[in-house]
Amino acid sequence: MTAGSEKASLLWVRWSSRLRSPVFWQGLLGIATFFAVWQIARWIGWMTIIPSPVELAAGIPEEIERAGYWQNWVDSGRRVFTGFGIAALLAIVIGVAMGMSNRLRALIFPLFEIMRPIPPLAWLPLAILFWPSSELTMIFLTFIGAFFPILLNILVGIEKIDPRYKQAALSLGSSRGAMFRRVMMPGALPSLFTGLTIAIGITWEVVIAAEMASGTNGLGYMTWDSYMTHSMVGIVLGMLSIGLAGMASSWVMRLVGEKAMPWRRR
Amino acid sequence: MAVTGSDEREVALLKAFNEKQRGRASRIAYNAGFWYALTGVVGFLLLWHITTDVLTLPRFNFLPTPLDIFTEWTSTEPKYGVSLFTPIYYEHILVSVRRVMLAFFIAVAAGVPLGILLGWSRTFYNFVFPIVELLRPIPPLAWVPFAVLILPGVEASVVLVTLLAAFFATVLNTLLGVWSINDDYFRAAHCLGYRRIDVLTRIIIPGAMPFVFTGLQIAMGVAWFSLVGGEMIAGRSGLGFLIFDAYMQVALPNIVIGMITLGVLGYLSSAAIRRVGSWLMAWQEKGRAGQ
Repeated sequence: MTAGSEKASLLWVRWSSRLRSPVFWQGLLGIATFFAVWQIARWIGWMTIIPSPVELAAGIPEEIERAGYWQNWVDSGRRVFTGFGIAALLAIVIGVAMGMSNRLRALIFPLFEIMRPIPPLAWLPLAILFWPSSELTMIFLTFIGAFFPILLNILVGIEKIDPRYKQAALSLGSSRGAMFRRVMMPGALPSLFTGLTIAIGITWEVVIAAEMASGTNGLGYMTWDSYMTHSMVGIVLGMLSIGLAGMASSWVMRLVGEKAMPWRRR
Repeated sequence: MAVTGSDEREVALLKAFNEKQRGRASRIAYNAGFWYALTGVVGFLLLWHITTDVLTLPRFNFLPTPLDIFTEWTSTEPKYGVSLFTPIYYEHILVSVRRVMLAFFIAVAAGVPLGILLGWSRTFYNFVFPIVELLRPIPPLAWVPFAVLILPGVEASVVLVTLLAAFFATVLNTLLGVWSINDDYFRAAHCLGYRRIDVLTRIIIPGAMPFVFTGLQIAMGVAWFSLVGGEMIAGRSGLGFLIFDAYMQVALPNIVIGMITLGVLGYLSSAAIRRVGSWLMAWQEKGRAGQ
């Protein structure tokens, strides 16, 4: 039996057991009730501004087929992952340096603590002034949104490492490099991935607002544009797309985390 | 008896000595930390001053300079109309704080009971949690256009956007709190013949409290976060509006004044929650100390 078919049969087993469990059907019923209440409210004549689920189901395919819908995904995704990537890289470098040197930590940590409570979106005007293009502005904002949670979680992760590991490594004559590779890195990884998962959610949030306030494309802009043209279906589609994009990104993060930390896989 | 007495004295002395040593060491470390921190912050301000005011590097010359901000902030007759001595500054603060507080209290009043119910009843969880999971991934700011269209007035939509993220953070952390309770407590309760309602009031609610307060801290953070976005995009007042308006009017120092004020308010509000949390859960601290 090849690995592929084994995996497929495993998937089948998991799905068939899920279909047989009452939990799945209860959840489905819950969601169905939600949509039914929404639909009935429309029939009674409440909430006339919001399109009913049936209208949405009819209208959304048309909106998706409109030119440029998928390009919006690409545009927003590019911004999110560029800003996020830079933030992750810088936060890891700075975080590890701070974890390994108490002096550096004492020097810059308070500065970061002062800047951290400033909501990322409050940086928007300064970013527009400073960066030559709106693309760079939005990337900078996603960077600011992602940087602090990643850094903070790395620091927490390094702090949480059992000091006995460090002492054992030192008494076994470990070099600084080995200490980093064998103790610090595996010890801080779980916390790092917590930080990355939090950060990817924040970057989506930030990019949406930045696109609404100053963008010309992307999912946030699409939602805002639908608002301007009073297309309620477009607004809801925008919200759904953004939600899906955020979910997909966190899912990717979790997958990467499992790959990077095979010892934590359940 | 005499032996134990002297032993006790010796132990007490040793303890005091240790404490003294540790106290001195931590005091020194604290002082050194303070000087390092000061160096870091002053270094940053100097760098900012040099890049914007002394060298006026390209791109940096668009940014407000620290000196301008300071003089504007503390001036009795500010050039751009906002300083520590103008009532309009406090009006913006008041509007933002009121919105955050309102949103936060609605989010907590609805989120904590929902989270507790989700954790208390498995059936309720099976039915309702999928709906929560369906709505949760949508970032609050994506709700802005929707909220503006369906709700009357800007105020209600800004508050709705502010409370959404706080609500989900509260629900999720409360639920996690219920799940974090040691199973032994439930087994003991069953053995002792607790009714379901007793389980709720005596185990679930106190047991979930520590996580609830973590959730409240997160909720406060995200409330400020979304508030700024909401005020920037849809507001007519408040600190988020002040920042964006300052950008539109090219009143550069006001941007940074708004940012720093937001930072301070955000910090103070989470510090207040931490304070209330440790005060309400003094029993937990004691329990830990006794272990």
